Amino acid sequence: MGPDDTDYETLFRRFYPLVLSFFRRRGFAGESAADLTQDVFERVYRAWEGYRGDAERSWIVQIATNVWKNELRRQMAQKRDMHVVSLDSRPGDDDDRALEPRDREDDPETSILARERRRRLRDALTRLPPQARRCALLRYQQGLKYREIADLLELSVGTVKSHLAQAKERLRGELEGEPALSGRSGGER
Amino acid sequence: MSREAVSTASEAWDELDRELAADLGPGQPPATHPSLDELVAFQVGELEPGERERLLDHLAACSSCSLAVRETARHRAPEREGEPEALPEAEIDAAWRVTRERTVARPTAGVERFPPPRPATRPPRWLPLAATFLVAMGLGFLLGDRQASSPLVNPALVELLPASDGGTRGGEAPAVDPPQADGLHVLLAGRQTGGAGGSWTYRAVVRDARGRTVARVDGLRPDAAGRLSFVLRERPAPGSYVVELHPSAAGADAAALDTFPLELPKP
Repeated sequence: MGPDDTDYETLFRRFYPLVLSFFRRRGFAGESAADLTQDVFERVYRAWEGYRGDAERSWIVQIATNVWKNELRRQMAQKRDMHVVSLDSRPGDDDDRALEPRDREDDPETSILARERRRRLRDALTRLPPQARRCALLRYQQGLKYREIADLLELSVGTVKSHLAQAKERLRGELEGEPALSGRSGGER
Repeated sequence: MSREAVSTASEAWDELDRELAADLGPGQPPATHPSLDELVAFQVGELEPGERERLLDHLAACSSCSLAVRETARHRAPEREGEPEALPEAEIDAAWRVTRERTVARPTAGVERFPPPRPATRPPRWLPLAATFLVAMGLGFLLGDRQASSPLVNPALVELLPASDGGTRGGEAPAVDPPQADGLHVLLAGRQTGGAGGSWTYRAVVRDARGRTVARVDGLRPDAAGRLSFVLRERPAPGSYVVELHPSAAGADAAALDTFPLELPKP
């Protein structure tokens, strides 16, 4: 079952540019935008019999919105499933310098100190303001670049740097209260 | 400050970066994750401020979810919608030809594309009498099959993938449209046994979050693509469900071949 062919073609020609623009403005290019637009009009066709309203534009935009959300959901499901956390890799800095973790756990005593240090740092993290804490986690746990953090949190790069500087100052303050590990000379507690 | 002093301060600052990276990351991934619907709602800007803050906290701690959001960030809503761009008539003509082929020129478009499953074998002649007897005894509900004989005009289609395929991929129901949709057409895709033309039939059991059976559909056969599908005439209430897939021949207590998460969002 479907709409009258002529009516459907009229509707298609009237709203095709609107729907295609809808997807292009959401970052879908070329065939992706055309495919999603196609999907919308197939759904419109299937739903036509049940449609009783006269606000066709908002009805079609609603269907396009649902198709958009479905596509986001599909892509995010794939990305989330594919992701494998590497315990070794540390993505680089903005200028591609890697944040290479220092190895300081090569003897039992140092290992105990390192664990204690981590615990204190993580405690200190929880006391940071929310945005500074998120920036620090994204930077030091996930190894993201400033731009990536900014995009995720919808902040400017400058704001991210400012939050990170604040977080680093606070975390450095936390570290200064402990014996230095770099010398590995048997720090006292 | 001398050049050497600046250099030393900068190196110390970078050294602190490396120390923090070593000490803080990577942490344990969170035990629970937001649903894909919540991630989508974040991406399209539909979360309430409090929900958004909680989700940001999760993203900061979860590399898996943050990757999913970052990789799709370019598809966020635009700041301004604007007027649709003018298209050449030839482009619209070409698009119409494709659309026409897939809609008006295809007599099976719509629900007929995914016909409701038919029974595995022709039912014996005594079955109607037996069924009548069971209904009369008040046991009809035990049959559990909620399908009706009359075709649905426009059931919403949800395509599910098994949890064993990596969890939630495709596991969330698409946003249901159109709003006038009646019923729910569930398509079980992904890894299955048997395949098209096989002699096996399957039983799907829909359970709610508490494990209660919401619907049971037996006698399912794979379609040409090896997928199984069934139609629930009444869409279950919004919530989390799981569709268990069993061979028809298996006992009620047998372990499922696969489970398919199903999230039905609030309209």
